[in-house]
Amino acid sequence: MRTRFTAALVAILVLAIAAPALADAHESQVTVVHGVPDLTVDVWVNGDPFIEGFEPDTITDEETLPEDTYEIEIYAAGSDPEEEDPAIADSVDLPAGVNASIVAHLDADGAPTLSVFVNDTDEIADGESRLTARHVAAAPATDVRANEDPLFEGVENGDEGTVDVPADTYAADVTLAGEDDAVIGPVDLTLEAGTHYLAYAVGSADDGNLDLLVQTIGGLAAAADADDADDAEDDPHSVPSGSGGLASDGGFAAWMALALAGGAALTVAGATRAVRQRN
Amino acid sequence: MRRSTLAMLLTGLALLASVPLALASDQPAEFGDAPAEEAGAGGPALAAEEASPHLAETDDVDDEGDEEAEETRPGPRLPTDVATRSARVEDLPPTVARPTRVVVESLGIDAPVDQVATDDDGAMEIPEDVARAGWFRRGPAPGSQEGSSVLSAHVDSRTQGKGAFYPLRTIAEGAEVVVEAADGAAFTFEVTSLVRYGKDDLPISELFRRDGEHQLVLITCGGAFDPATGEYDENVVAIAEPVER
Repeated sequence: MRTRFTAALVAILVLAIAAPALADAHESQVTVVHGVPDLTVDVWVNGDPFIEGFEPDTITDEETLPEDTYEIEIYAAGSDPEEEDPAIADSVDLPAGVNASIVAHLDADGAPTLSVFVNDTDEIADGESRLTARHVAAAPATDVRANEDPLFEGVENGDEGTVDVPADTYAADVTLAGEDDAVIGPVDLTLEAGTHYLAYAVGSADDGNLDLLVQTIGGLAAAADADDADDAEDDPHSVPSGSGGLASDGGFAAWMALALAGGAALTVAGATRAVRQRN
Repeated sequence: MRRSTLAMLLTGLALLASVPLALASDQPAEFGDAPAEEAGAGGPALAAEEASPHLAETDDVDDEGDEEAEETRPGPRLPTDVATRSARVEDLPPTVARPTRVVVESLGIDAPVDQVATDDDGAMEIPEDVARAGWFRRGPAPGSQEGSSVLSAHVDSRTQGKGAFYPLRTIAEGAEVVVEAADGAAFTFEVTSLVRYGKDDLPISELFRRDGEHQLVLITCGGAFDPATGEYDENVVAIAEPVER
């Protein structure tokens, strides 16, 4: 009797302590990306409708989901799951405590598929942006370039690359690996500091509908630059913008005083010498 | 007359003559404006340095890929009817590219613009090269929807002479300021005020605000120069409003 009571008490205590901790650590942020051309779909998760009328080239906002394995079924929009087969059916493992993107896209051979990518949400250094390129198109290996410089080379379907770059405007394009002609772009991307830009190459090379989709994750700037942090701490306390004295309105500048004094001295000395030499 | 004596005399006279000459050209506010000379003397390089940042190559990283699950469980309650939005590049929220050049034609100001933040002491960084202006990159870029965009340049330097914003203290109300951006866009502003503040009285929170009506702020140094510290005692601040084009 006593033992049983103690065991129950311990169980309750353990649950009480553990439950709140588990709730946060086991949740993840999920964005669903639709990169299959020409197919508006309904997305069902674990047998329930999750996104209805999901159009190509669109994404969801970040949704909070618990760590789990999810059964995802994607049907042509308006289909009755009881009667029709899904266009894509797959189970995906969502790890705990991550920011992930679930991407519906074409594989290298053009068949619809699902991929899960984990997004880097580490802090970004002051003044920089993060750029991730993901190849989720029915196309051979590609190079991703910024201002015609290769950023990622030989990226194949399902691969990705991530790099932090100075916040700036870049002409981004995608070429077949080793070639110079762009198959996507170039498009001008203005990257803001502290934001992670995730670019997806989607579509099909054979169908001539390769395209670029972009997901953004903001607010990653290191404290000194975060928009939502206390801006006052990031502002300068002064603007020291002159050291010459040329624009001084406090009478003669120092160099003018020197020129006057020196000039007068030299002139007097020179004249004196000239007079002496003549005598 | 010996050569050395002659040289001494000439140098002395030249030095003396330099002062009134400098006064005539350095104080356009009192002696009428001399824009042609200002432009030449300021000498901002027209060829803006717009070299695109060079990006490092990185290795590709494999993604996690999807894995087969052995079983499905009824999970916790999930959101339903999740909202979606376009991920097409042209539908990204509008962004404004960094400024690359600032031009005040009426004063002969034409300076390439660098990105700056604050130095270790917390002062605004100003490009070392006095022919260049700096944009405070933690605030909004010129042409943004809201907030105050700050450009600053040296009035002068002990070693380099006149700076890009040397004539700023004579800017007229209504003067046009054009800022070019890295993506080729150009934004036009019109000066609404010119104010001098004591170095310690600069209204930082107003000049560097991130929201509210969009404005362009041009800052340089002015007031009395203290040769002992090598510093001016004031900031010259011109504020300009966007002109709808």
